Amino acid sequence: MQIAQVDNEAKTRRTHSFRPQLGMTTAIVMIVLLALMPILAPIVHPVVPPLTPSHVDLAIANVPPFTDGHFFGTDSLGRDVLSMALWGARTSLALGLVAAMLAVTFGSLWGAVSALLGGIVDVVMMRIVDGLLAIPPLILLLALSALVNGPTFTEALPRAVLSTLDVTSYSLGFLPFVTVISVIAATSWLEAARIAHARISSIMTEEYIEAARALGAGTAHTLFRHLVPNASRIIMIQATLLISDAIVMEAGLSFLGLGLSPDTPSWGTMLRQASSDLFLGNWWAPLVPAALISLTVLAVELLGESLLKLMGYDDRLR
Amino acid sequence: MRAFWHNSINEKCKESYLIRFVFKRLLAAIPLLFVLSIVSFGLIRSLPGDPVDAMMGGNTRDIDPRELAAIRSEFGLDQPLPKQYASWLKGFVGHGELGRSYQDNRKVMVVIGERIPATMTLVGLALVLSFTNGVFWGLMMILVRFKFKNALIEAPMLATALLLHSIPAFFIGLLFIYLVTVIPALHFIPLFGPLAGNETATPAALLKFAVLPALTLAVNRSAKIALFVRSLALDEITRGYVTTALAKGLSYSQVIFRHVLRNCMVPIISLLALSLPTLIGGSVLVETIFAWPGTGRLAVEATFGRNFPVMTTLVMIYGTMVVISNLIADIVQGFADPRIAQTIADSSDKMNGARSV
Repeated sequence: MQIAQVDNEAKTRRTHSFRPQLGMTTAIVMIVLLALMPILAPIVHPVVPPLTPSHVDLAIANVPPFTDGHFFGTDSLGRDVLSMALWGARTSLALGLVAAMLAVTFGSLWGAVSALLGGIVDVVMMRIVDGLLAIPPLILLLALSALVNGPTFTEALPRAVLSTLDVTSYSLGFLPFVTVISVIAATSWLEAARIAHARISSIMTEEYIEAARALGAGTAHTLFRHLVPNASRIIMIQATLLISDAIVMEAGLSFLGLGLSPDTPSWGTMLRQASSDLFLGNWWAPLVPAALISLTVLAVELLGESLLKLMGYDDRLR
Repeated sequence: MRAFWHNSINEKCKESYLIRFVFKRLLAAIPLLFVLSIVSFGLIRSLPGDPVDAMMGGNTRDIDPRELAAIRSEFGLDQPLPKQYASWLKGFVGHGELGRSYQDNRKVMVVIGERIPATMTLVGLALVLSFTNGVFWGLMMILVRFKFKNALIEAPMLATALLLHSIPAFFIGLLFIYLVTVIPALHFIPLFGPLAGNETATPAALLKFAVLPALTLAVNRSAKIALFVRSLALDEITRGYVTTALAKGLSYSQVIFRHVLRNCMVPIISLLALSLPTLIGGSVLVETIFAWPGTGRLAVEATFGRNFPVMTTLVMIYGTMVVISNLIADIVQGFADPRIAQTIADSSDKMNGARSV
C-alpha cells in the first residue's frame, strides 16, 4: 500500500520536475564510465616504467596532451597524467565507497537505535548528532586529522595496530589511506544518522508497525523485518550522496596537505601537486583531476536527486 | 470571576505564541551548545598523555618534573576535570583559561580575535553574493522556461548551474588567480592583498581584497541556491495565484520576481542558514589559496602545528556561529510564516525546537 502511495506521489511530481529519468540515465552513464576507470587502470596502464603513475622523468616534464603516447600529457615532474588519473580513480573511488559505507552503517544504526529506544536516550543521542552537525564538516575533519596525526596518538596505540594501519608518515603531516577513510567516515556519519532517525521515527507511527507490535512482534523483529526494509531505500540514496562528499573531502584534505601522502595516486593528491603547475602554463595536469572530481560529484548528485524525486521524497535541503 | 481571568490569560497566551515560539527555539539551542562545548573540550582531553605532553611535542621525559608541575598549575591542569571545564567555558566570556597558543604562547582568544574580522568579511560577502546571484539565476531559469516555453535556452543555464555546483571550490580559486595573473585586462583586480599589509586590517579595508576570494567561495553555493530556487519556483508557478496575477495583466517577470519570489522566501531562508557550515568549510580552502588572514587559515596552521588550544576554541566558535545562525533563521522563518511558529509554540514536545541543524 505504501509503495502504491509513493508511486502516485512520484507520478504527480514527475510532471513538473526536471525529468528524473533523463537525469538518472545521464548519471548512470557517467557512473559506468567512472567505474570503468579503476578496472581499466591495470589494462591500459600496466605498471611499466614510462607510464606508471609515480614514474618521475624531468626530461618529459610538462608535455602537452596527445604527444608521445601521453594522452593527457605529463605534469611538472614528468609523470603521465592519464596513468595517474586511472590509478588515482582506484584510490579516490575506493575511498569514497568505503567511507560512505562505514558512515552509513554506523550512522543509520545510531539513528535507528535512537528512534527505537525513544525517550530520554533518543533525546540525548540525537542532541549529540545535532551538536556535532553544527561544526562545519571541514573544521571537524581538520580537528580529527590533527588528533590522529602525531606522535602522542600513534605512540599510545599498540604496535600491532600500527603496522596494520601502516602508520609510517605521521611526522610529515600526511595520513595513511585507512586513517583518511576513518576520519572522513567519522565526519559524515552524522548526516546519515539524522536521515535514518527522521525516516525511522516517521515509519514507527505507521499503522502496520502498531499491528505488528499488537501481534506480538519483538523489538528485533520490528527493526529488521519492518523498519530497516522500509527505511533502506532512503538510506541507500543517502549512501550514494555520501560517496561524492567523501571524495570531495579527501580532495580538500589532500589539497591542504593533510590527507594522503603525495606518492599515493589519488585525484586529491594529483590536484594538490598540479595546482602549482598551472602557473607554468600546464593547464592539463590540474584540469584532469578537477574534471574527474566534478564529474563524480555531478553523477552522484544527479543520481541521488533523481532517485529522491522518483520515490517522492522531495524535501531535501543540503 | 476566576474563570474569566483564567480564560483571558489563556487568550493572551494564544496571542503571544510568537514569544513562546522564540523562547522554545532559544531553549532548544542550549543542549546543542552544551554538546558542542563537551566535544571541543573533549578534543584536547582525548589525546593520550596530557596537554603539557602535547605542548612539548611528546618530549616531556627530558624535562624536570618540578618544572612540568609548575606548567600544569599555571594552566590549571592540576585541577579536577569539571573545574577545568568550567574555567574553559568561562574563558569565552573573558574570565577563565582557554589556554595559550603553542606557537607563540599568546592567549588563544587574542590569536583568534585578530583573525575574525577577515573571515567575517569573506564569509559575509560570499553569503550575500551567493544569495543574490543564486536567487536571480534560479528565477531567470524559471522566467525563460515559463515565458518563452523554451527548453533550449533554459537547458544550458541549468547545465551550467549543475556543473558549477560540482566543481571543487579550490579549483575555481586557482582558475581565478590564473586568469587574473595571465590576462592583462584583469590586472586591476587585487590579489593576495592583506598579505602585504598588516594582518589586523579593518573589514572596510579588507572588502576590496575580498572580492575574488568571496566570489570563489560563492560560486558553488550560488549554483546550489539557483537549483534550489528553480525547483521551488517550478512548484509555485502551477499555483492558482500565478494564473490569477497573469490574467490580471501583470507581466511574467513581475509575477516571478514579486509574487513567486515572496512565496519561496521561507525555504530560501533556511537554505541560507544551512549554507553557513559549507561556506565556513569552503573558507578554509579559499583562505589557504588566497593567503587570506582569517580563521580558516588559522585552523589549517593549527592542524599542522597540532595547536590544540587554538583548534578546540575554533571548533567551539564555529559551532556556536552555526547554532546562532540556525536560530536566527528559525526565528525569521517563524515570523515570515506564523503557521510554523504556531505549530511549534503549541506542540507539547519540549525538544521540538531542536530541529536538526
